Amino acid sequence: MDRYVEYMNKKRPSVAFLNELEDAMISSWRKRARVRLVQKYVTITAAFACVLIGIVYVTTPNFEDVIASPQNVFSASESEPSNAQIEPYLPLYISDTTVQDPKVGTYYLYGALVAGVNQNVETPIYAEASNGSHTLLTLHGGDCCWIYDVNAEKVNGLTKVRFWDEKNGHMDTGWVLVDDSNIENSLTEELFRPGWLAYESGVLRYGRDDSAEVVCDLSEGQNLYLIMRNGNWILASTAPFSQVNDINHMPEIGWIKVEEIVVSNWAENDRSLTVVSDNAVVYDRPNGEVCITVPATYAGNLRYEDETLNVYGEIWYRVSYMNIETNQERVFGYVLDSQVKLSSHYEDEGDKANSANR
Amino acid sequence: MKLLCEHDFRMALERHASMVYRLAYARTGNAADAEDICQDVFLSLSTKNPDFETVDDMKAWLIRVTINRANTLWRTAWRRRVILDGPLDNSEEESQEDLMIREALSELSGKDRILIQLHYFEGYKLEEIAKIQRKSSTTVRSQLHRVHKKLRRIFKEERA
Repeated sequence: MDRYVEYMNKKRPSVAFLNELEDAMISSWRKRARVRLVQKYVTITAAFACVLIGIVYVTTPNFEDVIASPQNVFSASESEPSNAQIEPYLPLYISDTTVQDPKVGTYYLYGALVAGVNQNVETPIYAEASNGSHTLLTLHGGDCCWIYDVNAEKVNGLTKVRFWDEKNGHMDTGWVLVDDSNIENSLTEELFRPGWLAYESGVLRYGRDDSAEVVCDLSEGQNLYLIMRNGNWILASTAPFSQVNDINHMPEIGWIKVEEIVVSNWAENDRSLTVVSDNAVVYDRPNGEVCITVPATYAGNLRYEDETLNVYGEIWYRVSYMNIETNQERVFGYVLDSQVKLSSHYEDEGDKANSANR
Repeated sequence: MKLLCEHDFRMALERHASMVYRLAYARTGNAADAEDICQDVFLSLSTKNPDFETVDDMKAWLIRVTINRANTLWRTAWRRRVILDGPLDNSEEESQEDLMIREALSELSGKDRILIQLHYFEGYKLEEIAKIQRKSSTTVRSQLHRVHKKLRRIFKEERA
């Protein structure tokens, strides 16, 4: 081992290398030192600024009046107008169709957010799950906003929603205080069925009040999609939620009086489908990926049962037909809307009713 | 201990550069690689400017970083091939005895060479080596025993 030590003693870095290394080290250290110095000055300046702002804030008379006196705060909240407690000021979330994504099994709801009728109350949609965060959109009393995704979990009492920002023309995600319990209120009755205007003209309003602002004018016998009933008023949209597939042409939504509407029963609506495409097929699920049951062209008479919008924004009709082999039981499946033609039975009925009304 | 200043860096280089170089040389068996590693280690010291409690802490830090850098270098396939296939560096005039030691060392693995370098050259005890290498002292003891045995065999063969 002595020989090893002697051998390794001869191994040493050259002087030139060490000089170069020293220069590089010192230069690198100086560079870092400059950065550290700047960081130090920035920190000191920021701390000094904070202290200064604090001093200015505390010595302001306002501060003493508003914050330092708890009595003032208490009396201020007591003198608040209690309109908000009388009128429903929380927006209602109204969901229509529940679409299941077969891949992940998650339910996607889509519907509308309707702000309360109190014109003075604003409903902000926040960027974060906190009341103090940046406001993405503010709904005024009676305003409606289309909602595409609702997260069931609430954070700080706020519900996460993916909504259509009409003003800026894009989808956004935000947090809003939603009173979804109102849907279960005994005064509120879910409808989700078609109807039409019983008179020559009418309007949809932002609120359940004759003096509420008008959303849109309705033409004679115009088809409406009736969402819910609250007292003597019906919340209606100009198209079914399930047919909302063009974000640039959103239907109007608003309130109309019950007596102005003819309500149709969706379940009794015997609509028939005609296959218009040679390649039409009936699928087990409304996504075109799960197993094919039978080509629609061989399915005989398809009966329209319901319709749904899948997560890709496609409209699928839920259909039934007699089992080809047994001809006894009805088989249910889904067919894409572009491959069939749906008879507009209830529109015909509407026309008849309108004629009768006239 | 306060952060290092320019003077501390100069002192560190003066005191530990040879140690770092030899350690790197022992691992790689190559003067150029040893210089690269040495440069990396000291630049890392000046950039990170770690807060050392004692001077011994700095030495231990330098050893650990040197070993890590050398291991990283060795891990690249190209380096591994060159180092394993080629003999240890022979840049200087060597006596017959030096040649024999160099060839004996080239038979050992890089990790074994680091072990004998730390133990016999730097004078670290087994417990200290274990602490630096983050191994148990019994592992280090058995490794050193294995290296002894191997070296004895190599020298015996060469004499024969």
